[in-house]
Amino acid sequence: MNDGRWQRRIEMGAFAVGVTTILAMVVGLLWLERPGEPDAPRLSAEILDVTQEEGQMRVEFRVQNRGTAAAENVIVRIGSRDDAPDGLPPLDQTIAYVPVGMSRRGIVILHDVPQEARPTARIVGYLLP
Amino acid sequence: MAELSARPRPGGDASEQDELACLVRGICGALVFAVPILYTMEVWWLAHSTPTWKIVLFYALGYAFCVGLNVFSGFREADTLRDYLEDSATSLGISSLVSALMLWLIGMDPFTIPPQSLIKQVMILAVPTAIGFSLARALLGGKSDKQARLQGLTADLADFGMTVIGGVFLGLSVAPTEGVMAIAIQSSWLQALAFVAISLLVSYALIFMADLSGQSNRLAAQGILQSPWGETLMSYGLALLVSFVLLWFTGYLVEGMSTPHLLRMILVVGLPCTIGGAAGRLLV
Repeated sequence: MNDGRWQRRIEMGAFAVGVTTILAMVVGLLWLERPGEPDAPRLSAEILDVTQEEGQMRVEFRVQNRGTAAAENVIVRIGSRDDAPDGLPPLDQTIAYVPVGMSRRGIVILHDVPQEARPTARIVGYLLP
Repeated sequence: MAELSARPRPGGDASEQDELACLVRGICGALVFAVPILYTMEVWWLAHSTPTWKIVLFYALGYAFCVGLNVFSGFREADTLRDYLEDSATSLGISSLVSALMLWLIGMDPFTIPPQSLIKQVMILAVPTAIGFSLARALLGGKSDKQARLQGLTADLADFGMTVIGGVFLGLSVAPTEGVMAIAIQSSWLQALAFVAISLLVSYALIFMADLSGQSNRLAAQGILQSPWGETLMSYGLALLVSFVLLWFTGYLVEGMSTPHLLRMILVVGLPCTIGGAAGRLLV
């Protein structure tokens, strides 16, 4: 086949992909942004790692925001499950800012922790920016 | 059915361009421009804090920048308005895909980020990426006789456009960062004046003293805005305007901000905009 025809097809193919992408992005964004529910953060906290040594417990946790608005001053409480009190003293840690779609990690050190303690992480408060 | 034929080179040369090589060159140019901005965290956050209309306007301006850049450089030979418009759509569209791929590469998971935030991030990043795509030949040294053919265009218009585009590119990687606010708060009036002096000197030195491309032509050019200091002052004024618009776009201009603080912020971002504008003019 004529090489010139192939070159022209590549050129027109790239142009078609380009125009389609631009239109899809603009139309898609405008459609997704049509009036509806107000934006809100959707926060979750999870324990990533727990290490225990000489009565101290080092707890590494992560806060994730899957909502549509950022959250400020997110207070994460590391403590026992409500339904399984095991003597773990609760400790609050504040994360300054969690943008949409992002996660933040934190570490707390708990003292005088019983050996059988099983910590959990919960979100107990946040502010909208 | 009309026969498909490759776009001939301007000037009547019937030999055909290697379109695949042109696209690869464009994508490489895009990556050169995209990577520094991609690694700036505040640019990611812009998508969450910037209203949709501002982002669509920015994206539309990006297309306009591409049209201008395809006149001056482009990622392949083009000679008609239709070619420039087509190539600009290709530049912006392919750059959007490249931006999406790069965002995924650095951990922007499309399954955890709200889709509108993801599209906004891609649209913001696509503009500087498309600037790189459209400047590919000037950046990466592809063969072109375009600069020689551009002498019919007024030099003022070319300088004006490239100052704005270069300023937007370099300013965009700086304006959203918190460093701008910190520098503006800490700087004294003496330092603010030094920002003005250094911006003017660097701009002058880059264009008229560093013995870079086209220096002798620029020194010999006629007209108030083509004289060395006339061009330097004109481009600095434009760079400050670009700085103001970028600060507005990134949400740093808030109600109640004091005028001295606002001026300092404009001067702080004005320095990279001036350097970017000067580098842009060197490409024309």
